[in-house]
Amino acid sequence: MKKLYLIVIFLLTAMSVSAQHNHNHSADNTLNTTEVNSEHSLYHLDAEWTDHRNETISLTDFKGAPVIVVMFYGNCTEVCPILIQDAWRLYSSVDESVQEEINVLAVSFDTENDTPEVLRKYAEYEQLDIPGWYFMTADDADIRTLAMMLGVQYSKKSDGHFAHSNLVTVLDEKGRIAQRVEGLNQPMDDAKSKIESIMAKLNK
Amino acid sequence: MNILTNIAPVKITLTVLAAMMLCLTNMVGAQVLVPSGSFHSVMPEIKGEPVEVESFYLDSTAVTNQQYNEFLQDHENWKPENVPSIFAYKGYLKNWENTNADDIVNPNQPVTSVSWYAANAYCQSAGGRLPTLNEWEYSAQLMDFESTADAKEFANRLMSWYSTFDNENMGAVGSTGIENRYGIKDQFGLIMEWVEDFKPVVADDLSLDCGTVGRMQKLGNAYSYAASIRYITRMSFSPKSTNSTVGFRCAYNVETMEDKKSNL
Amino acid sequence: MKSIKLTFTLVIGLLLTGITSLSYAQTSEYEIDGKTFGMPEAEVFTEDYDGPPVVGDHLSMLPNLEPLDYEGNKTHEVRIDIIAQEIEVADGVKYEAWTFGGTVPGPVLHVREGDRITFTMKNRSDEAVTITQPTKEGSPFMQQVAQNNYMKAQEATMPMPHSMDFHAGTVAKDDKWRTIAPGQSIKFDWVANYAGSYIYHCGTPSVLMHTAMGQHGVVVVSPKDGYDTGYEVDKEYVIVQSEYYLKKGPGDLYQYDYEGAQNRNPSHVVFNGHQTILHDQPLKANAGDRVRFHVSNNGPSGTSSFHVIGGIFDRVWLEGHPFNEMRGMQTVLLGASSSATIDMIVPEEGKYILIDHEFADAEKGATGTLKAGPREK
Repeated sequence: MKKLYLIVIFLLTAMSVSAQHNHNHSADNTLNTTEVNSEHSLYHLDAEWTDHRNETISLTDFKGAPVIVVMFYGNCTEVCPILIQDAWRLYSSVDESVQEEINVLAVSFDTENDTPEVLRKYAEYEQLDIPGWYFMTADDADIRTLAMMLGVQYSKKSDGHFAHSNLVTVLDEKGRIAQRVEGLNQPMDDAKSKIESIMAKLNK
Repeated sequence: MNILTNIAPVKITLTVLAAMMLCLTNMVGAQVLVPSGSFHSVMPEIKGEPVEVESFYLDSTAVTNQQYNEFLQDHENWKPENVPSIFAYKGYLKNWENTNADDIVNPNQPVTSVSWYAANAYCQSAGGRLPTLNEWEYSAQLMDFESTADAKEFANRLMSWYSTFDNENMGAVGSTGIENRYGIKDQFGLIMEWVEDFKPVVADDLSLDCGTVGRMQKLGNAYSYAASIRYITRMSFSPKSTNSTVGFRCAYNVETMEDKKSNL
Repeated sequence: MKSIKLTFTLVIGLLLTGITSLSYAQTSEYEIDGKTFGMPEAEVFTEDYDGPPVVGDHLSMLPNLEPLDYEGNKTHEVRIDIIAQEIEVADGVKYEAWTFGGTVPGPVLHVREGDRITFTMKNRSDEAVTITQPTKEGSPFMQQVAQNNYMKAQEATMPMPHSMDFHAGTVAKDDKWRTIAPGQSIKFDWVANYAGSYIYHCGTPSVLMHTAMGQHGVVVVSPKDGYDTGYEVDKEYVIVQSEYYLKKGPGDLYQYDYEGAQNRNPSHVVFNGHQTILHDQPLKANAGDRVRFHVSNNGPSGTSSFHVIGGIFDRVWLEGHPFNEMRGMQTVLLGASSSATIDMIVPEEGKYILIDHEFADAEKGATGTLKAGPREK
């Protein structure tokens, strides 16, 4: 019975979130694809990141192949696992040969709690401590800048949790936004074909 | 013995330097501690509950053209000719046009026409960050008035000010005479200011229509009316916006400032 | 038990959000009763455009109405940019207005019922734009303003977010009437499905402030088969009534009076944006002429009891729709954002005063003159 409730809630959440996001036009439209989907590379953000392997990385390290980006936080036990799962669904939907080329960046906006060590445990728990996956943190200012560029909004609530947008973004080989999937549990077909077409172009 | 006497002068020099640096910052404004407290937000999702704000430091005045120019000397990637369009609309630092870097026009005026990205980068390099929306608003509400009539008069002036900025005759920072009880100056009357989360998460759910102002007016007075206008205007910006009336000041975590002080 | 209750509330809550959200789903174009609905999604973008702020063949300055020099329906490419402008609204009273196209009210757009409008608008409120240089480009509006700059318009800047709400359009406001930041542009289509005179205004909160600061105008949608009168009119004018809420600022300029606006106590109530314009430049006609007035009360908050001293309205079409015909009216009551198309026979040579018969408004400026010459026919 409890399960049934959960499924119902789950479906409805997915439905309402997706519907809202699809037809939601914020005043400024950072969430609007026409505005963000411009020919600008996010790799202009010159910042140092640390991943769950405690290695220092920069966004330009990922140049040359598509990248899947999600923003989340570790203490979020309801929505974020779905978001990470969404990234996994997209990642695992492409051929293994493509998986080897592309990378997935899961960026936490909870700098207080999500240290590289915590992120490592998170990756292990999610069974995603695998090549090509990076659970990352950085300076607050850099994380906020990345969020602005992606059109992700988040703010810390008094209970320590975050209100945030749910978004899976595909960057092309130059770091430009190629596809955005807003909401949870969305179909990944378009994002998948976008990755495949970028890869096809690159391998020509 | 020799070694020791050699060290002493160095120590003194450092202290003097530190003191000099403090003086310099004092000329344009210092970082002022804003003690923790709470305030009434006009955001509609906060149902009458006061919003708690932790202690933080805030620049007493907005960042000036001079300060911003100094930042550009060390951060060439933020010079107008180098800024990629992903970080700013055209018009970034447009009021600096036709001037070279050695000749800063209106050095003591607040820098405007800077995007959120630029403001964020400046504060990061200053060892701080942009104030959060709640921090900024909380500080702005810490004003003392002689009487409710004075407060009302001030709020009415505020509304007129939000209708017409005199951005051609902008004053220097600290010139408005408006300050909160801890000495944070010009949060009104000079420019509008960037905050870290200028587009709060609920911005998407707020349909920006006729009723929004009414829904935001928790206190039902001119002061909260002006606040609604400010929230709505601010959340309508793009992080790339470069408005001639928008500048910023930086905030600092208490720990950061304490580290800084103990290092001096 | 408590958790079940909570879950139930959650489910209902989500269900409601789900349903209301889904109802906004994008549809493709379709027709009902010959009216076209389901416009493509609006586009928000940035552009380098720095040309005339008002572009289009059928845009004019009040009280003019540009004639429809084409048969049937067409698509109008229309641009009305948002600019700040210092204007005079009464003798010695100047303020920095927020405008569509540079004047208050903005340009009059004239289209025919069934026409499609591809509308582009750039928020240039942070850009100094001059509207008084003679130009052949743009629109009749630009030429008319250059020839007759009665508001003494001067460039100004006041960067604010703005939006456009055309009452003549039938679309989803959360898409087409979106607020754009300074530097951004928006482009969308709408179809003039209903004949009549319709206001347009900025819908960004505070709507009261944005409209009172000057962001409003009129679209005249002529019925596709005209009004069923059996005659042609001799003269056609557009009259817009609106209120200003201003008080003296620290310098020479006036500023927005928040209290006045809240308490519906305007400093000026005017026709065509200026307290004395319709006396300084009276409307003209001759005795025996049939004159048509497209009268719109753009508010933001007042009503208008529109009357012409010395005349009786021969025919009145409420909201300008040909089915809403009335005869022999002395006064037409117009609520905020309400209009009427009025035909009047000019009785004899002389002066006729257009007036809001709510005399408190009349004494704040809501009057004008129709000057009639001798009968020519």
